[in-house]
Amino acid sequence: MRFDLDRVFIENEFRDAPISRRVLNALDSRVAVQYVADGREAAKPDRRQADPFAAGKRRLILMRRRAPFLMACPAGSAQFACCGYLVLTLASNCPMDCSYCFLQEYVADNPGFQIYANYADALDEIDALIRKAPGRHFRVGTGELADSLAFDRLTGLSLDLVDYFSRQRNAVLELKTKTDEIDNLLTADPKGQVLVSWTLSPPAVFASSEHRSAPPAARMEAARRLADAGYGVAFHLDPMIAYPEAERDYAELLDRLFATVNASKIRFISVGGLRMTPGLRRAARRRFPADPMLTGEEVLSPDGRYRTFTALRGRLFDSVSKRIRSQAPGVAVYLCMESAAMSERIFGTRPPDPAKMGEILARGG
Amino acid sequence: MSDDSAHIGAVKAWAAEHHLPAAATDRWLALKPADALAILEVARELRLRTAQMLNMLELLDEIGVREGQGAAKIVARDELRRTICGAGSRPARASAFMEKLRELRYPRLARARANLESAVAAMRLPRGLTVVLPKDLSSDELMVRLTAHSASELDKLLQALVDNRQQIAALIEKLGGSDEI
Ligand code: SF4
Repeated sequence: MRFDLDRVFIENEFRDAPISRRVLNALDSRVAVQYVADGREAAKPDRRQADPFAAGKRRLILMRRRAPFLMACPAGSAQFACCGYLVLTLASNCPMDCSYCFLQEYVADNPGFQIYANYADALDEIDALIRKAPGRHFRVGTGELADSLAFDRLTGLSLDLVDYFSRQRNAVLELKTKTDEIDNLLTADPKGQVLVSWTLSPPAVFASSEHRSAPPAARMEAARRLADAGYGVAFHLDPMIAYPEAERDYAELLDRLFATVNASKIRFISVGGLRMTPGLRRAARRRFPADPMLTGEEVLSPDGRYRTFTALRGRLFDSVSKRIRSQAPGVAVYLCMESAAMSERIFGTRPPDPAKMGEILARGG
Repeated sequence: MSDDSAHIGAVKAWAAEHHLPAAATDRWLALKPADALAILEVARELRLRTAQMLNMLELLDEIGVREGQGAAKIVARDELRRTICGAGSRPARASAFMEKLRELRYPRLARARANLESAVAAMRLPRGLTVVLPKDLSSDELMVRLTAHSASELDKLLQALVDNRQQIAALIEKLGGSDEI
């Protein structure tokens, strides 16, 4: 991953922290570095810029996280067939720039690319959670407000995380990425406790919408190598975009996936449709006015988001689910952010409740 | 004034007269002259209202992004020309034009809706029993409405509902994506 940074901000208390040294060593020495008392100021949008959100991606801030690191999956509610996933927020914003990315709205008031240098506190929070519920299995993911591996070349954070989770028995780490930044991971032994998942999109979506990410074939190849190295691997066909050739292209994408990665090594595939709040849609269209993937047949849905109209979305889900079942019948597939009725229509059964689903996925099927 | 900028005054005048928001006016003016003029001609011919103009600008922009065509080429398509130049009052032609434009913007949605509507019509449900498709097919929720004024009417409608149970169930499945679109 190539970084285009204008400036790095480091909070004074982390001036000599190992993570700061690692970042500074890995960066081009021409990038200006500034030490500040409070990184939150640097995270705010610079309204003088034509695109303050994009400018935020170019300001890397090493700072303290002042809120809890661990949260329940924001998608989790009784209404949705959710996967019972816990979110560990180690960073906010991302050096890649997907046109549909929800961060364009979610962190619009706070777009600086923040990496939380007190991440050891995050591990303490997980310890406390595990102590409270020793019989449960947890899936802890870091890919919610940032790509899990996009900055790993700078921070080496994945090594600390793999080391921690490799010593756990009832918590697995899920790293979610659109990169092929796996060099650090290949040097570590996950002892079966780490799963790396990739968002996969057909080449047409990658070319049109997933700027600065790794091409789909490179993501699959990275998955193959990590699977061979003992990592669990999983994939997200999410967001699926229902452009006119989508059925054909997603089928080809799956064929390519199963030709690259042995299906028996795939822990699960999640499937979900493009969904955008009106605010996100406005921001995305403003920032990427020429992206045809943002002008599909999305309509305002009862949940207040733009989604592909239900029949077309359901049809696409059905076609990928059939493809997966025919080529890799053993791979678990689930729908994300869809109603139980949609799950029942596609898979013939209602989804288990989120906690149960989380445990199934944590154990691997 | 060069030929290329001849339309600017006319667009600004239309926008001022109709209180078009500044952002929309700027977007309109940023189009190629031929595209901006084509929009102006439609607006004048159909006496579009401000809300219709806002909608048209957005729909034309989105169709253009997807199909790689400017507004002038899009509004020159036969199906749109027919609504602009057809018979009927200006307001009727304006709404037919907007409807057709929306169909071009959402072609598969328009086809799916037409299929579902013809399936509903084919059931020939009695008065008082109506099947309401969700707005923009944005969910798989089908509303069935019974309106009865007497016990015997209620019995008749309930019987019609039972008789059409299979077709109604099939409609719900179609709403969820059981059909080719
Ligand atoms: S990789 Fe993920 S977090 Fe990064 S821009 Fe794309 S969608 Fe957003």
